[in-house]
Amino acid sequence: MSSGDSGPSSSKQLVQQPAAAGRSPNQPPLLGAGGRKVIVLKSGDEEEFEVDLLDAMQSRTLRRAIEDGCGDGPMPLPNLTGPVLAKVVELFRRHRGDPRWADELQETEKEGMFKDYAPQKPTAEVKGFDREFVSVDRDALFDLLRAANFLEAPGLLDVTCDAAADAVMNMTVEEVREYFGLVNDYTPEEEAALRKQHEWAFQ
Amino acid sequence: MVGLQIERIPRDVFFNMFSRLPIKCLARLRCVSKFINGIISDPLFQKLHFETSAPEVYPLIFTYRIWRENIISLNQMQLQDQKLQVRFTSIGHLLTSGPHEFVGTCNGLLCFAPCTPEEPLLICNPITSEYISLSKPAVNPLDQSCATTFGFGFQPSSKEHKVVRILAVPANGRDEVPDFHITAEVYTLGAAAGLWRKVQSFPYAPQGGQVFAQGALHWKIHGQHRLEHESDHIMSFDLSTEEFSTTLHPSFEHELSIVELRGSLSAITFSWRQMTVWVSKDRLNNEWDMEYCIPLGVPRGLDSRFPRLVCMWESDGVLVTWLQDRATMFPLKTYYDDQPKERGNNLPPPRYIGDSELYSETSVHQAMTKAAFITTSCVDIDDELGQALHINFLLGDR
Repeated sequence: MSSGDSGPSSSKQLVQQPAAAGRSPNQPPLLGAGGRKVIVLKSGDEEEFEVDLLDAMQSRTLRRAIEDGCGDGPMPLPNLTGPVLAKVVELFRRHRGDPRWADELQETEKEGMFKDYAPQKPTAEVKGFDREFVSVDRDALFDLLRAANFLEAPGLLDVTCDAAADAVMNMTVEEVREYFGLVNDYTPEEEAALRKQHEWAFQ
Repeated sequence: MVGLQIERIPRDVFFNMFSRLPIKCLARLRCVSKFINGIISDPLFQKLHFETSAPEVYPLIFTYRIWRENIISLNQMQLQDQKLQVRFTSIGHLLTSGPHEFVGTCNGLLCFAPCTPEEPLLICNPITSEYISLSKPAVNPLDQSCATTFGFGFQPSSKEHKVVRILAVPANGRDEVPDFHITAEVYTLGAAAGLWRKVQSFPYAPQGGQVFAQGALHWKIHGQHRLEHESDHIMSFDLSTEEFSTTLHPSFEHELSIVELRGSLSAITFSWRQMTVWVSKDRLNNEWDMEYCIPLGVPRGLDSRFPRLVCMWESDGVLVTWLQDRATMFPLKTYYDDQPKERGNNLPPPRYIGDSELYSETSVHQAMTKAAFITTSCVDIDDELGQALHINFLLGDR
């Protein structure tokens, strides 16, 4: 991976973080605050988002791509839509410094790129943001779940899986079917036998 | 299937999501559809759930009426509105073979020992009503004068469940102090050759129930059996080294009971009107914390010389003890903060919350179960030869 200092044409360009979407695709990689590179993510519906390199490291998929040198132009993420990617980028930004991937960042660390990285436990404000973040309807939540899985972003996966688990926790069997859009494919006898076997769980 | 397209959600995501759910919820989810049941039954999921979920402590009592009906059923016991509620719905009618006695529980599995040498030892998972029988040990008791003791525990480093059998055969039966010839054997569940192995023996024959805690099995040894140990002491079997040792208990003055508390060995000593709860801090160096001092009062029918502690657990800021036929609850919170721990926490007068007279039809045993996985996969190795069913336990099956 090249650090921001090595790109001759980009070395003096500083951009306020977070920047709005819609840069020209021909512009060279940007530098964020502290001289770090900013990478550009492009959603399936052609929306572009600038992300601080440090934030992007929260996704193993993005990290691998950056390490493979794909971070110099807009990085296409065809299976994520603009609204989903916007939410994800915002979550990454809020979770900057999250100690969950401190070890992983140390492995990636080269040339003092993350020297201003200071692990800090998520504050109450961040936790509040997380709660707000997953207060969406079922379809939006599952879009985020799929995005978390594709991006291999443990923090995002954690927040969304927690929300989905919370949602089904106290549901009846019928409500869970409705929630997951599943058809009951048991025969009445099979279902009765299963319910009998797990009778204690229905009290 | 409008909108959601569940088939587009990778199995890994469901694994992650469901690994956050408690056992009871997962048991219900199995009834949703074959797809969901398939995820919950997947050994990979169960391994993940076992390793990532917080242990769920279900204080269970199970009642058995095997002499009449050959049935052991398991009931969940919980505190509700400061009353002890026992849910009488059975988790499963577990046993269908001959009479068995409860040995112990760990990781949600229950171990039952046969009352007669002809019957096999049983391990069952009450959540799924599955059970397996182990092959018989090589050495069988000769007659009624032999004392057999079993133990059941889990060795985290190798992720193996082990069953221990201690057989005490009277050697010099006419002596004043009975002497025993003792053999100990170990059976490792899920091991390729699931056979009993002889291990180093120990000079004492334990009596009474086992406690599994801190990687070892513990039994109480009655003091009067050996002259060099006048008072009660504790015999421990380390499941990784497979060696016996003596764990000294903190107070030699009084009658002793042992239980598991917060995953550690706990010794409870009884004296006049007081019960003292010690928790083992460092078993090998024999360090104990005095945790609680509990006034006994004079409960009706309590024989203070030989009180029988059925079980004890902490839950939602209360300590619940089941002494003889009485369940008693002590609020803990206010006593934690302002008293130095070393001196023990003096608890306020007890509050009776339940009465085992309710269960006069049945026997009550402690089965504190950390029920953290759902199914065990049974492999029938050689049923035709009359061999017992062997099992690839999730954790033993690497």
